[in-house]
Amino acid sequence: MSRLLAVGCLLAILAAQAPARGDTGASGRIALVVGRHSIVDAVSQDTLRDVYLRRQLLWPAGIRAIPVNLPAGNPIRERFSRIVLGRSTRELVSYWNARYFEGIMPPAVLPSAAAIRAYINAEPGAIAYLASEDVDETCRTLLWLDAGQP
Amino acid sequence: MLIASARPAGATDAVEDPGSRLMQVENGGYSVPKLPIWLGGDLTVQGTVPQSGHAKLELDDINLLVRYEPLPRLSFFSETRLENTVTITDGKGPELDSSDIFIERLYLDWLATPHLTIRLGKFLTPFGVWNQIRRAPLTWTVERPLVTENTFPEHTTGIGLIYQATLHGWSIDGTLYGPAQDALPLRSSTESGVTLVGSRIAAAHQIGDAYLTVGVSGGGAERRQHAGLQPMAGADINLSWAGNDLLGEFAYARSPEPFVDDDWGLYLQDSYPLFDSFYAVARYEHFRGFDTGSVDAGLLGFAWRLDPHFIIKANYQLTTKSSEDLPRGFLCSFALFF
Repeated sequence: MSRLLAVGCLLAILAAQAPARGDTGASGRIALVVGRHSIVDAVSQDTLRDVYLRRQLLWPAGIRAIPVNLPAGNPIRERFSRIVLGRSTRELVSYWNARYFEGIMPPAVLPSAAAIRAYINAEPGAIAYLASEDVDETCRTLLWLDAGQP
Repeated sequence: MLIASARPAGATDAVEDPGSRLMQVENGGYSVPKLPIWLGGDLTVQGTVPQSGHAKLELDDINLLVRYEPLPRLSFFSETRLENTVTITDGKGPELDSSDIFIERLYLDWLATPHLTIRLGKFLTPFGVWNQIRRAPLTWTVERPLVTENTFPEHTTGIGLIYQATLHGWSIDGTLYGPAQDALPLRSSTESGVTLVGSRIAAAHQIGDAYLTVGVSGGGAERRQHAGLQPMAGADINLSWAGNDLLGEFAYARSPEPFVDDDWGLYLQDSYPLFDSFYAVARYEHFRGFDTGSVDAGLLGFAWRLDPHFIIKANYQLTTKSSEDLPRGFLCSFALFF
């Protein structure tokens, strides 16, 4: 309970800070990150697609998989959506509407890279993506997505 | 009991704070604080102006959805439908109908592995595409194609094994179900007395700017009055490309009676955005039934998705044989989920 309160307070502070970068950074790379103590050691692009489309709800260890998104319209999110999910955020609206009727909701959204870093370090089943410049020592990078990918 | 209200906003533009127990649900619905319970629902109002007969407006149905996840591997889902509530008929005025309560779906899911789910209970028969996306807020037309409601039972009650994985960029969905009855013994059904076994496999992949899904379905239905398993088979395609949403299905079911025609049919439908969220819709369908003979139908219309949660549809349908399931004339509806 105290952990949740601490995370809630931290997120409230971080949400007021600057939003995530509006581009993929100088290198154009997107990092798939988890917290330092995450139970997730490796992830493939295929697994990412299943987790972010909520087709895979569990990690192999039996812990719930919790994907995290940046807000709709964020260029990093749009690029991630195109590369990994094969469709834009707008094109996925009908997909998520269909999943609504199974009681399955889209990934949670956090407003900034700082909020994402705080959350993935509090939640061992969480996974997120960040611009390379937003990755710091609090994150563990599992995969890089390059600008040249489709 | 406090319930956090969801934003009735677009499917992807709300901001959620996962650190809070009072979570907002991004795509609508309501989560119950401190409990792993989600509530949702939808309603549909439909109007019909047939070429012959009285025009009518009806509150078609109201659905309540509940999902409960007590454990990471275990979830329960139910959909309860209230149908036949109020009808306003031209020249007769409003009428209160029987207001039947119907258990549309009721099942538990056990996640045996990250890719394999065991489902027990009553669920929509995984045969083709339309039968699983049948909700009015999800579809582009007022009425569903005949082949999707007459060729196979719409519901399955029993056990299902569901496999979902992505392999080398291909999203694979496979389902096995049965032996299963078709209905919960809570209410008499037109599907009563049918036992089903079947499977479906679908594969989806991005091809350039397009997204293609193809699927095949097969199974057997044993009807109480008829010995032997009558085979059913189907194929479907869904292509999203340049704004088009092209959907087609074929289904076949062998007749349980000797010397009686088999059921088979197909449809092909496209929707295309004329501007922003206003779509043109066209469909052709052909159906040949055990006892209804052959019928062809064409449909032209519009769908206006004012919001991801709210759609208004207007269709004009032409058919070679008008019936209650396939009326000739003007149809309209609005549907929303909340």
